[in-house]
Amino acid sequence: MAPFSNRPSRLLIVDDLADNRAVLGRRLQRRGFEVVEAEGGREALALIAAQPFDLILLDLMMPDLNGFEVLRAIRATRSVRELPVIMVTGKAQDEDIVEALAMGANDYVTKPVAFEVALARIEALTARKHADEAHQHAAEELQAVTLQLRDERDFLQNVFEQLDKGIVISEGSRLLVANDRLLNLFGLSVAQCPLGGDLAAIASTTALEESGVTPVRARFIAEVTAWFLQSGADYREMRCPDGRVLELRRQAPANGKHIGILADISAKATASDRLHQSQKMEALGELAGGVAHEFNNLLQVIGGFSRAAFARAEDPQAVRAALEEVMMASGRAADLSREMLTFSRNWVGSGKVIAVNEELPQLERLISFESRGIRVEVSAEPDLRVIMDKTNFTQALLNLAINGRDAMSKGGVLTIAARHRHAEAPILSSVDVANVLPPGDYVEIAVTDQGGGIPKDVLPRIFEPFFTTKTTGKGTGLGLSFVFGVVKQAGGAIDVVSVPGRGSTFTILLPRSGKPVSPELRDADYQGGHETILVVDDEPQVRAVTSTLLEELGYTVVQANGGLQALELFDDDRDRFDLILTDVAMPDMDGFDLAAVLDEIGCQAPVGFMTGCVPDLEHQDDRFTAARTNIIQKPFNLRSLAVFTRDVLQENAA
Amino acid sequence: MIISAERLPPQTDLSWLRVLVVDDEAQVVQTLRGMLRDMGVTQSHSARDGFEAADFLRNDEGVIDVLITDWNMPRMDGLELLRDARSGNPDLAVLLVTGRADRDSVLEARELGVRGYLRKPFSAQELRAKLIILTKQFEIARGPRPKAA
Repeated sequence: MAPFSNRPSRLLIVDDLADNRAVLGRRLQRRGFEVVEAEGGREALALIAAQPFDLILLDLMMPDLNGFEVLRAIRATRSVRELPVIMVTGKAQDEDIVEALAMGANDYVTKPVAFEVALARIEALTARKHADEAHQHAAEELQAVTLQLRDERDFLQNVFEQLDKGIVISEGSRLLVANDRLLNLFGLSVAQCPLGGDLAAIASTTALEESGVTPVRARFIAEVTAWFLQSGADYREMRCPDGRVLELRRQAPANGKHIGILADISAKATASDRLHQSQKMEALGELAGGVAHEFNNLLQVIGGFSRAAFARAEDPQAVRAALEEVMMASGRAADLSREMLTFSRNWVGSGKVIAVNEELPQLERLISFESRGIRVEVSAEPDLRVIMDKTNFTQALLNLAINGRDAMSKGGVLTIAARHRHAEAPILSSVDVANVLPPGDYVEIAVTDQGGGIPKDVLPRIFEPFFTTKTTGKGTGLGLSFVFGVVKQAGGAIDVVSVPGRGSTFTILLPRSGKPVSPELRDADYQGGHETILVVDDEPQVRAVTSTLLEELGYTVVQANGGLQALELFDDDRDRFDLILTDVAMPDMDGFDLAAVLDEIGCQAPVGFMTGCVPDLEHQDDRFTAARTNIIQKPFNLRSLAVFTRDVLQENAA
Repeated sequence: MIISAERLPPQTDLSWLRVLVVDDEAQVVQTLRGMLRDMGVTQSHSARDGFEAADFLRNDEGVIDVLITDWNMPRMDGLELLRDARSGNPDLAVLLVTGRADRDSVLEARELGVRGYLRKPFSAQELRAKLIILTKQFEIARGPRPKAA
């Protein structure tokens, strides 16, 4: 009411008698009203159209236009329709009063006018009018403000949704806001992220997987969410399962609200990757050159002695001598190819059961850094067995130890500690988010140095191949990438914690094995047998060579050119084979599928796998890990095939 | 051809076999029937897809000994055909012509009684070897067949 309360109410008195108007007008003026007079209906309507009034006192009986006609005109005119009108009538004109009220008059007074009665009615009506106007004004103002706010909100919402950064805000773990970009970065729908929902529940791997998110992506989202809900400002970069690189920022919670900002920095990362890649190519070029040179030398030997053998075919002794050279050279070539495969992380290695607690003390003898003022302390709980290639294991630990040594230019203590770790919950590695270890028993090996620590900007890259901080000639940049690769191959994971000025700890987790330690193999240990073996390989030459070697060892060999033929041969005589040796990658059916089918249809014979290489570690088939004690890497020689064949046969017999 | 050919009787008579060849490629059907003719199989029929074959087998129950069918065909594939045909023809021997198979499809095929596979391209010799093996399995199941007159 505020804007109007001080304004005097304006009244229009309409009466054809000047005396009536003057008497009433004067008295009303004395009461604070502003009064305008009109002597007839026409004048009244003209005034109403031209000036604002708060109330009309309208005489009913007038010569030109009577009160009814004026009232009708007022009520029919949009701008003044609401104007309060009090009819002034003669006494006992009840019918007129009723009619006037029906036409929209607000009230009436009768002549002679009892002033106090008229005043009370006028005040009541003007007060209500003022109140209505104030209310309306307030409502209009409110509406204007509301509209303005809505505009601003829409604008901000628009900006918020247009941002190329994903934004998430939560109160505790209750989701308050998540913009489209965020959902898009995670590949989620609005329905999967209801506002007001509990983030911990929304982003649980179970819930995500149930709503159709792939397990890998679900783990990724769960991991990011868990990180987001921690307190304290933080920043990290992560690679999505789809290959995009995300930059994540977490602000320190304020008023219990967590704010997270995500940006897709793949383009930036790609640019730096490319630079990195070109350096890698350079290194690879050098490497390839060296390897080609080495292979050429060996081919020279093989070619030369083959020709010699051919030329002197009638002299068995000369042929034998030449072939020995050929065999030695091809053996060296196989070693070389194995080393290269190890570097390219495509080497499966032999999955033997080794006892970490027995290997570590042997390792201790290899690493003596006393000349550099570094003491090495090795400790291991008893009975820590894992399945891993022994050479890979030793090399991995050696790489970590050497890195630790190089970090401690001022000397100190390097500790290598192995212990049993039981995990109730899945284990996440900050190094490799996609690699989540299931709950279970693990062997944990921690290598801790007292060096300067790893700078924060370097830390994310240390496991990349060819990344090195050492000067040229001092390191290949393959050490940690090798460790990363072989640990992952063995079904484990690696993580690193580094405190600048205090040192770094690399922790390896390997699944603990309950199997007995595999016996050491010596050259003379291999032997053949008389069992019947089904050799399955789609490449005729490889199949022939394998069969020949096995026959040389005394076995009976039947060959199949693929998985389906192997099944037919098995069906033909289900008890015929003691062992099935199959290639992994075959055009009609892969070796693992073949083994699964054989197992399903009741084949008792063990299955051994022969493989050229693992296609890609990142997309490595779980079945490789599952079968890794039964895999032999090509190329193999008579001895390794003999040992492998015997092992697989015996394992089954045991 | 590595199936131990020496284990197969050299002079096995296949002329009594009644064969239905199903493939959506007319040329494959033609070639197969030609190979069969050369082996002395005179009673061979053909269908262009699973539907046609299923129809044939429904109307003429028990008149076919061996079904040679492609695995991948439009409308109705080899396995669907088998599922459909099995009830009326429990003894039907099957050769499945296939490119690539995985664990689950092979297991399902076995469930439906498939014991023989042909991989394209195959030779007449290979086809003959597979048929002889299938025939042996039959004889075990049904007792020896009288030689065709």
